[in-house]
Amino acid sequence: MPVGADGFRLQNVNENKEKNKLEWVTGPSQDDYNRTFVINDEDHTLGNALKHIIMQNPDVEFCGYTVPHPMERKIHVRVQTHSTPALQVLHKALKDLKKLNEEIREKIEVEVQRYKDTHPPSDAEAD
Amino acid sequence: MEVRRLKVEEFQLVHEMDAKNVKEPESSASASPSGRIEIISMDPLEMELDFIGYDIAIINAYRRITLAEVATMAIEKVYMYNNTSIVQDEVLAHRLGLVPLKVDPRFFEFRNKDETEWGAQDSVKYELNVRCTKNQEASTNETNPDVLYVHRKGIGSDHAKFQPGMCWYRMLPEIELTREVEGKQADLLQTCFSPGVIDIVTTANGKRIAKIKDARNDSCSRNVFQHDSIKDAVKLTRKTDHIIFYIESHSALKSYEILEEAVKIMSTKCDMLLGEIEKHLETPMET
Repeated sequence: MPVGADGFRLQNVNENKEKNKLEWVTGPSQDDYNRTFVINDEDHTLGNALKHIIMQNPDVEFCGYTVPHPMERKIHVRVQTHSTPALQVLHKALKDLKKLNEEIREKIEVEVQRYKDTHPPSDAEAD
Repeated sequence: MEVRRLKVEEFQLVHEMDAKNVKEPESSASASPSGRIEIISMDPLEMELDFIGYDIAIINAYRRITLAEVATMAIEKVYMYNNTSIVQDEVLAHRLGLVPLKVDPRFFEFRNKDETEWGAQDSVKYELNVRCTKNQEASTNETNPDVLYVHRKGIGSDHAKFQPGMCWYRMLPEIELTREVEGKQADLLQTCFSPGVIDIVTTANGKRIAKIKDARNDSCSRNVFQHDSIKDAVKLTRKTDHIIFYIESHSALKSYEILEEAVKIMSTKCDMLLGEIEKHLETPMET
């Protein structure tokens, strides 16, 4: 419900407008190498993980994320690099995060199977 | 015009695993450090596993996803036909919603917001015909709701009834003895920690000294710092890369299935964003 500063509903805001998943801010502190990305429908779950992966890129000078307002579901991710375009850094970080995920998933499957094999369920266990 | 950039020195965290602090050389194949996963105990209801070498941000993301985004089925709409009990309609409906159901949510799909009809692919219908037979004489004890209810797939961030289970983690505690502790002090030290953490051994010349047996069971109460005689004898830290992760399930999904779903959902998030970026790499767009 879009509410203005006076406590009454804002009339011209269309809540059903299709939101882009990824956008970026324009302004004086933005160029190809320094950008603030706006990711809609995400929160600290993805933000913190993504920030951690971006920080491991040696070309990144600065990376941070914030949730601008807790009632709006979006995050701002700021990336500052020396010589790589920021969008490329974000792309690589997402690919790395996905790869890390797949790695963890495989390891979990292997571990679960290993545990099941070494600890056979007793007959008393219910379904 | 010079772009206004944030200076990193003000914001840099000391223990952050960023490019400056990562010690091992990065190979061209993978930029992220790999780690180990060990399952300590597992049964369909509860699970304890260790993540060694992974960063806390990823583990926390899995915890948040299991609490808010792994889907389960719960009762949503309750149609009452005849409720002659003391319990009001809405209270009964609310309580029915919190009942965990054995329906596997992976066979169902999420319901569209615009749909008005309940189909087989997104909901399950139950009928409840209940009559209180305990005390038939007393009229105030009579409980007779004929209800029909529908339940749908939902996620924890929508309503807590859709949470599949409980999930939490802690870092492995580490205890170090800085000096030898013997005799009465050793006994005192043993009582300061949880049982099983400190062991008293007798050395060759008859002294009884304290030894760290297993720091994992410690609940980190830091009671040792209350006592002046032994507070200089221990150093309490935590291993930041060894996470002990607990999952408890109270839904149809088993504990390891909850974890697998959480990892899958994280992958889906990455995929969605990757798709968006790939779109932008062709056509630049700005807000």
